[in-house]
Amino acid sequence: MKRKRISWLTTLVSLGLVFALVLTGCSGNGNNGGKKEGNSAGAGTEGNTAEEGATDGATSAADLKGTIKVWDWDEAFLQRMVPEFNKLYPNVKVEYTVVNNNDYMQKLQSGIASGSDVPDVLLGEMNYRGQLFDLDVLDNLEAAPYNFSKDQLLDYLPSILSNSKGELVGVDQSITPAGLAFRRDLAKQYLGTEEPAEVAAMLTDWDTFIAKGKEVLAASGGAVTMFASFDDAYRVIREQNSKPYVDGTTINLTDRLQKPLETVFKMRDAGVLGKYEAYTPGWNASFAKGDNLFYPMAPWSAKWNIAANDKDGIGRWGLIPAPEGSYTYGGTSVGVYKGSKNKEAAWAYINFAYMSDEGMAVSYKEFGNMAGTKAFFENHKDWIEAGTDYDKYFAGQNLNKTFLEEIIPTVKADHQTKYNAMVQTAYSSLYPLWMKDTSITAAAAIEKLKNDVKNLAPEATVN
Amino acid sequence: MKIVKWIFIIAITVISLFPFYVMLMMSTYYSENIFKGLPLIPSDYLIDNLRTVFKTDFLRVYANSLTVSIASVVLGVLTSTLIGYAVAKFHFKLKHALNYFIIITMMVPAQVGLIGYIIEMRHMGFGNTLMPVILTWSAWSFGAFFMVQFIRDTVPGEILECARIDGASEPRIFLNIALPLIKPGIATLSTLVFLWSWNSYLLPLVTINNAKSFTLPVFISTLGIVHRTDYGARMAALAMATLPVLIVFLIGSRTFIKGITAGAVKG
Repeated sequence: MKRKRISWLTTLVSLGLVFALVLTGCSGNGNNGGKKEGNSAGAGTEGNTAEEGATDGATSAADLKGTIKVWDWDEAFLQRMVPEFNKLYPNVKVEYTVVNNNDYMQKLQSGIASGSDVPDVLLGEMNYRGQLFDLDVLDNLEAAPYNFSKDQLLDYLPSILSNSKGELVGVDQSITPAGLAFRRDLAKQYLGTEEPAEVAAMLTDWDTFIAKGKEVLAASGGAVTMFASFDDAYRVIREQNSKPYVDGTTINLTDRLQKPLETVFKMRDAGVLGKYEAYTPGWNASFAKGDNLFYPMAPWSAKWNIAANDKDGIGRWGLIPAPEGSYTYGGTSVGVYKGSKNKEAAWAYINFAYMSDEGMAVSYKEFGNMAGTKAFFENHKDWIEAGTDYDKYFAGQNLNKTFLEEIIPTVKADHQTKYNAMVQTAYSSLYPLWMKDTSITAAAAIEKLKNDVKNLAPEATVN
Repeated sequence: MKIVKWIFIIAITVISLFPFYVMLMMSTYYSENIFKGLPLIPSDYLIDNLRTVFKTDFLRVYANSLTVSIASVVLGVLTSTLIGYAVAKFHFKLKHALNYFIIITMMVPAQVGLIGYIIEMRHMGFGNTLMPVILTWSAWSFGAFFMVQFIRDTVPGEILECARIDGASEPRIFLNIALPLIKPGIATLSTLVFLWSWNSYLLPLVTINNAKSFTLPVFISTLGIVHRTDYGARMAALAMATLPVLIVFLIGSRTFIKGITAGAVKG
């Protein structure tokens, strides 16, 4: 009996060992890359400080060594930018992982909580930026070793790139001041002109916009709306009315959102909003379909909204500032992880890819990104004048010049905290009902929104 | 009566296969054209969508997913079967406690232990490899519970006793007598592990930080992102990703159905 037991045990143990071996073998296939741990090359060099940036001497750039990890969702950008970066910084290895921006926070938080891999360069998309900033995992870029100054940024930017302590924790991936894109063919048919200046002059405020919308609706037999989605109108008007509304744990929601919501509800009741939820397949298809006149538009929209959704739309679009002023639309901050072992290298990468002349030459000309620094606009007037590939969709209208001269001057932006992200989450789950159920009033909507925010943030006072 | 039966069967089949058909059709469209109407007729964009998919590391990702799923099946089914056999057919101290422990573990959602699991894996040196996604099946409470029930119902204690009296060793009893009896259970469990690990999203998402080790669901979620979702390419990738699952299910379906109904009727 005892012998039997021993042989039983031996069989089990050997079976276990065999499987362990098989498994290790199997996983080896896919993982060779994964084991190449970074951060081995030491802490970079002194002298190549942030503000010297990529434009500085190649000697110090070549001295900077190490591996940095980047989580980003724009693989095309990385594939183009990383080799460019390596021309100047041959000894900095950039290991990037493509992470869907919807999953970014979840992945990051698990990484931080478990003490495992956290990238050196962190991206904060507008939807979750406040949450990211409040995690307190980003380094202050105005301190050493970065020594960047917020004065170098465009005036509206520091507020959306700083955390609650007022520390600058990111630079803009590409600036996102926004106006409205419009369909020239529809404008000509229903507004009587397709000239951006004339369309802009016609729509001085939202009341006029709504009145015009009603005319368009009647003339088109109910087929053409002014905004494709309730959410489009909300995003524009909410950001236009930007002002600080989170004070510690007090969220002054009514003060902040009453006016924007009332205006959007007025639009809904007038019937000038389309039936789509923003960023759904139907909304994307509406660009080419021609059942809607206006869309929110930031510089990135030319590529990702207009060209991507309306590939035959050359010459079909126009850009104007929004009635009652400009706003910010989307956007992503780029910062350095506090626990990074290669802060200099991480900053060199950010500086190169998002602000330096060399990096921007690629980023601006091929991706349409504009740096958030004053220097960019001072030094590259010729680039702006020359226009971009996407201008052809806008019948040759110089988009970036329009942004620079007509849209940037009036732009405002909200300071971001985790509560902004929560308000956005609560709103996103509520608005589909608001757009469908016309019995819900703006006042009732605000009350519901306050309740939902309160559930998400029980510690906060929601007014 | 027969006609009614067939009409019913055909209707159910059409309803079940329709989404699959639409997925295949969508993969032939340019993303933005998909939603202009219901895509029932093939379009001409399949080659471009496939090009988008294969331009990336699709084959490696596919191999990763196969590796993970096959290894998970082997590991998960092996441990579950051994646990099931031990708890169902042997008497030892704390056996009941163990049984309860298995059931209690089943009640805890996997997400709760996620962070702890990642920490454990990191300390074992498996950070950034496929191992965390595979090893999670080694302590799979549902599998253990399922096998305990299955073995208890399908393997008569008398047969094992007879074998012992005839002088068979314990491993031999397990391999030659118990295993053939529980084949349907093993097939069911294998199908389940394969499906679940093939489709698993959260665990690979948070444990794998290296594109080289991505599995299919995580990879597909990164196809054509940044403000534009390339549904056409995603559908093409999904159609290809669904294929092995379909094959596994077709092969295992007969025993699979036998397995899930086992114990439903007591003889």
